[in-house]
Amino acid sequence: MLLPESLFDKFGKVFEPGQIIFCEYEPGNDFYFIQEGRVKITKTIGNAQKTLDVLSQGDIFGEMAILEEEPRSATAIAVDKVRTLNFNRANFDTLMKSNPQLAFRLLVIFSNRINDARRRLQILLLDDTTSKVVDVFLMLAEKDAHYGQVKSMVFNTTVDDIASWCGQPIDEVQKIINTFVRQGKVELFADRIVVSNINDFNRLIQAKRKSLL
Amino acid sequence: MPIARNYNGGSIVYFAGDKGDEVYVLQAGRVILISTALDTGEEIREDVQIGEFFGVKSSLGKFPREETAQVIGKTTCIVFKLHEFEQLVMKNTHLILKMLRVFSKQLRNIHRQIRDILKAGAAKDPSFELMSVAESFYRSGNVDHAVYALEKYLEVYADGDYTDRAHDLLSQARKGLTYPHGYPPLQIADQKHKVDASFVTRSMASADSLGDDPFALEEGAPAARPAEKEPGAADILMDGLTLMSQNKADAALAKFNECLAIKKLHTADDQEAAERAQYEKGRAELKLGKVDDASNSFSIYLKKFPTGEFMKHAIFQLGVAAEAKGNKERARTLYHKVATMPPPDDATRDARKRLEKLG
Repeated sequence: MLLPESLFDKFGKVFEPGQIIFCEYEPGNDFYFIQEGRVKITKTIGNAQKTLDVLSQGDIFGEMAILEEEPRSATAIAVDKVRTLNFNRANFDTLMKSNPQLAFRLLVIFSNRINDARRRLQILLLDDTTSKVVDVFLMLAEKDAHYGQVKSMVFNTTVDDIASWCGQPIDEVQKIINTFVRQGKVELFADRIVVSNINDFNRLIQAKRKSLL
Repeated sequence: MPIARNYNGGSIVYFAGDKGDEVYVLQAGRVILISTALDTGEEIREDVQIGEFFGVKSSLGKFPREETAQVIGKTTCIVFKLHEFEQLVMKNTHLILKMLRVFSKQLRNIHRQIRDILKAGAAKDPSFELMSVAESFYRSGNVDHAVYALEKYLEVYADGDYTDRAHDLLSQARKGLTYPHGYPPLQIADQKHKVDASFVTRSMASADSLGDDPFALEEGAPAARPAEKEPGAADILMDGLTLMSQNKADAALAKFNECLAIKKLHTADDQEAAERAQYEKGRAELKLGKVDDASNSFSIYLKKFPTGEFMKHAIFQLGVAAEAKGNKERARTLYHKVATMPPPDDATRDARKRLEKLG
């Protein structure tokens, strides 16, 4: 989806390659729509910058800031020359009314955000790390259209990502996944993790949740 | 074309965990949404209003349904396929704005809960964190980004704890110099500056305002209610509390319900009153022996105000309700939760007493 170029006169903002668009922990109350170019989303971990995502034409970023009176949760950096449309609370209503497709896109984005946040909370509320790790796999599975039809599932994820989803130390999560590998429940590759029977994981978590109530 | 579907009483529109791409509107009859509170595990039942959409989020996001939708009595729903729903709302943008408003409120509530769990470990000071990010850019040789972040720091925190340091580093970075060798590491300043909670309180005060702009949060609630003569939520709540203190739980309950039915909450006081009314409704119901209703009211309170003033009290009351139902195990779990939740207060004490009694 592209927004009409006519909006560019009023809302356009251009960034040069490598230029920072906003920085983690900076306050903000506006969001961006990418008309052209790519934007890298990064997070500072110690002295290093970890890339979380690379966004391109038609993507929206920074939308959390218009909801939460909170600092930015990540840094956005232009990869190429980037042309964006920049919107804030003041022009939000007018913009939504004149661009129903954009409004609908935001609705879909927020639906997914709520689900992600709910699942994150569910994972955090489990009381042991093994269950948390298993539930992260389930959460990833639920996003996959094949879930429910196949037993074995492939996830393009890493141990680091899983650790950050469950808010647990990487080495501890690594240990748990190693145990799964030894038990044949999981296969570990550099760029992906394969779960041999996702239904087993599902049963485990259902039972766990029941026991916590 | 959207179709009208008739249901017999007791039938299920969908179960929690189902996947489906249909969106529903309640046309006639009654539908309740049954969900489980993530933190307490309590069952929450909420009525769908006539004309209200349900099943929207899970269809849009293509994830499993969060709740079970059950029909009570003969009921008719209009069923939309996802693309039909899309067509409908695209022509009625105000519907999208209304839903965005509801969604943003839900999202804020969940985020608050997540923050509460995570911040147990580390309360973060945004000014310190912004400064750390700036220095991290600088140390890793990203001078331009460091300049940006340091300028931002000075712009936002003109008299912040690290202003001198930021000026110093910025002047070096602007000269194109690398991060000064042997520069003393950034250290967190005095405790009293640790968390600027003002923006949290501000957005909490207005989190439940039902203004027309979904994101009109920063302004907060207007100081005074427009010059209408009808009593506001705060006045009705006071009546209810007075009746409660006179042991007239029945009349009090009516007042709390009246308070909760108000759609426009004009002032921060009214919003606070609506929060309190949700809690007091439960207490009144408990007093009247309507234990299930009371549990439901406390659960709704916890869902809507997960960090509300009466959060601990509501969990405690859920325990009392469980005990009244003879579910000692559950009561014990809930009391224990309250007893171990900081800071210690009257709810902590009451919970400990109840725990002792249960043995």
